[in-house]
Amino acid sequence: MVRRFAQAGVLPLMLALLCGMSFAARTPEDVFLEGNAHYEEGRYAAAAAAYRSLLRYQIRDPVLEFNLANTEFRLGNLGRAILHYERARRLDPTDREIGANLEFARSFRYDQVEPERQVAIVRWTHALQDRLGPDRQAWALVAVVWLIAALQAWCFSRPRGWTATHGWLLGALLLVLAVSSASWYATLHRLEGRRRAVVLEQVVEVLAGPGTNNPTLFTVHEGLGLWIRGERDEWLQVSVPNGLNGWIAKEAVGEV
Amino acid sequence: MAAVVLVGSLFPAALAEAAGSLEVRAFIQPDYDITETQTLRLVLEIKGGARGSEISILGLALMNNLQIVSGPASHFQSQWSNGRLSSSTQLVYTLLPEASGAAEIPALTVKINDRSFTTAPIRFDVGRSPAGVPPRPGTRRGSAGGSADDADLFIRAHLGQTEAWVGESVSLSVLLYSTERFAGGPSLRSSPSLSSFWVEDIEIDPQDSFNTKIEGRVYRAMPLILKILVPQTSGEIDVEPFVMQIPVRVRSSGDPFERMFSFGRMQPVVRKSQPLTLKVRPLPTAGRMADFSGAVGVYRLKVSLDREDAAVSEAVALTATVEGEGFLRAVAAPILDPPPDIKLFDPKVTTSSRTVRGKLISRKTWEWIMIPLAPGELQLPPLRFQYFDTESESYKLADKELPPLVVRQGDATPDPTLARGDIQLQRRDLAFIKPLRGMLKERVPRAHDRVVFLTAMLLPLAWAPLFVLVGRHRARLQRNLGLARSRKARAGARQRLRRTARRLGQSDSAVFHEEVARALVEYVADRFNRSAAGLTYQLADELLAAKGLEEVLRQRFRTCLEACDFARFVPSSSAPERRGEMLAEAGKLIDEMERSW
Repeated sequence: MVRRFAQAGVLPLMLALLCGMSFAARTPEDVFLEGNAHYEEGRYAAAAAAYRSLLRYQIRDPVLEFNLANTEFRLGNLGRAILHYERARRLDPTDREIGANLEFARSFRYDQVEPERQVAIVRWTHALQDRLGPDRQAWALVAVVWLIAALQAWCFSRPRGWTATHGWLLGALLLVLAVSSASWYATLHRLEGRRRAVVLEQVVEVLAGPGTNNPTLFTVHEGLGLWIRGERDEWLQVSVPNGLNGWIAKEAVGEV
Repeated sequence: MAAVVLVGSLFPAALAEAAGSLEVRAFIQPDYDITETQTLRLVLEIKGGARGSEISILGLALMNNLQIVSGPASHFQSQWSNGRLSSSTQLVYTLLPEASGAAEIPALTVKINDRSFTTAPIRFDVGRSPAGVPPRPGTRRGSAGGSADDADLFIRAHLGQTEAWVGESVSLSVLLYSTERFAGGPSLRSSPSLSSFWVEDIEIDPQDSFNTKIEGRVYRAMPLILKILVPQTSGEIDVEPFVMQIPVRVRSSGDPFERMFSFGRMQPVVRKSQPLTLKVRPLPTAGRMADFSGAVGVYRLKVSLDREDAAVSEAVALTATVEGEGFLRAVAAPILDPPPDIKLFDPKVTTSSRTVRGKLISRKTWEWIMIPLAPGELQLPPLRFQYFDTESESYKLADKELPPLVVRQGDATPDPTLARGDIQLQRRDLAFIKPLRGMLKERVPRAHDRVVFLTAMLLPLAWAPLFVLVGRHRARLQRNLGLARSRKARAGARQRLRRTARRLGQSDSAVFHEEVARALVEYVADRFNRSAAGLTYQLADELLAAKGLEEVLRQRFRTCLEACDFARFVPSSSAPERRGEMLAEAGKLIDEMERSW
């Protein structure tokens, strides 16, 4: 980890050394703890600086994203807070605190988006899928495949071969495999299937085309989540939850 | 706005030809001494026949200080006179003045068969009605076609008292006085604004009508409205008149036939009550406590507990009832200062009221649920209820002692939630930052992107053919017992030799050599799927030769068996060191034969 940290930050490290700082001796974990200490003492700007420095070294930890999101929220950067909560949830959808803080932060948005109405069974399924997360579901798939393989090996290798009980058991396992596969794929697609972005500026105009010479279609506000449908140069083609779509400057949003 | 009246069907076809000249005029009935509570009739008279079926009247909406109560009613008359047929139609509207002052019916345009006629405008003054005061009998104030006499039918408003305190309840009733039965139910046309009062409507029982005598005439008095007014401000407060519309039955003429055979026609009349004034005095400040309940009247306070003893955490009901003459709906609860060792819940409040001889009698009950938290004798402080007594015109404090409550420990342990109140979320906020758990992660690929995941998924697929082959092999062995026995021949022989070797130093020579010989013979018997019992040296040699084993190997096999047989029968011929060589030779023989197979 230290080596990676050092490799990724050779230039800053040298600059730090030149400035007489003892930065090289610190690990990412040290910087993280320093950020936590700043946060606990209410020095949110210093905490945010520490957390952001870790992001520059390709640290992608849900705990880091969560703490940075909290800090951005305390600093009043609603859009950045929601962006980092979204990233944290993407990394670890099983963490309920991330979801709760994300919902809390979203309640401060100017653009009130009606939540998609879902029947109870779909809501429960999503909750269960989020609690398990795609990785656990993937490993569960492996376990089911191994169970099927073990059953086959057992039945093929025994002199009496397959019986009806084994057949039913295999059928049940195959059904579990099919359901688990579908659930895993759906979870993965829901979390990562489409590119998403969050508006970072207070008010942003969404234009009819990729360029400032295009007319404004509508305005969106800080913290609103967008779906990215395409991009061209410094512009992103986005759609908002109510179905409207247009072009927005890349610098005005952060991609999840 | 145009009023369109279909009268064509009223004209018989025979009269249509007579519709030559037309004459239209408008007039009112009565046309003098019109007051604001008096209805009048607007008559549009069309003389002469008319061909066609529609009459349109324009300009009614422009009437000033008048509103249409009903109409139009249509009356058609025709007669032969001097050999000529004449006919006339009357369209009659019932009008009601909106207020006293000038009133005007503008020039109306009447369209009959594409011909327009214009009537002359009608202007008149509406006088103020002597509201609520019964005029002398016979003063028929120009009712339209003979409506009820004002002296026969009028309404009066009454206040229970002319002076009151702020917060004191005062009854307001409106009664209809009539000398004869009217035809239908009165309806309220306008009621005064009572914004300075808290108003409670009291339901009226129609059976409350009574007979009364006013200025020598007997009237039937029927209560129409009963309200309880609670003044909120001091000063002289005016109560404007109520205006009621009452349908009455009138006879249009003194024709005895009509009196005998006709019930007359319905006509609405309007009556107005007289204005009232209530003088309201402010409550004095002297003697008013900080926890004054706001009650004004004459009250009694009663308190009770539903039990004298209870266990800890057991609910006890404390009831306080205030009852008396006055208005209690907006009154605060009696003051109760609970000791710290009881939990007191918000009271359940019930209020009821009734009127007795124009006085409002109210009853309000508060029921608290108390939870004693500690054992012992609990003496609750007295309940206090301060009100303004209208009889003595001073503040009075009603306080009642509560009986002591004996609280025993009981079996149940106090419910901490119940004792200390429900936990309620005061505000929402972010979950706090997370501590460091282990090392921070780089961008970690998803499970399905890792090699180990793919390996773990594919490995069972790679194993599947192996297990299939194993299964098939085992099945083949199961079907072919000879083959299975042949395959296991070497393993069986080697196992027997290993057992023999373990007993090399213990067993006697005969047993040892018998075991070695059996290992060799059973190997060949297994290989050829034959019984070891019937396998002679000669037969074994023939079988091995048939299988193509070399002569040297066969000879060694036979020599070894013969040596074993000799040693079995001459035990002294085999020294212990010789047994080891025999065992090694047997092992080598089995291995070499196995390789030559």
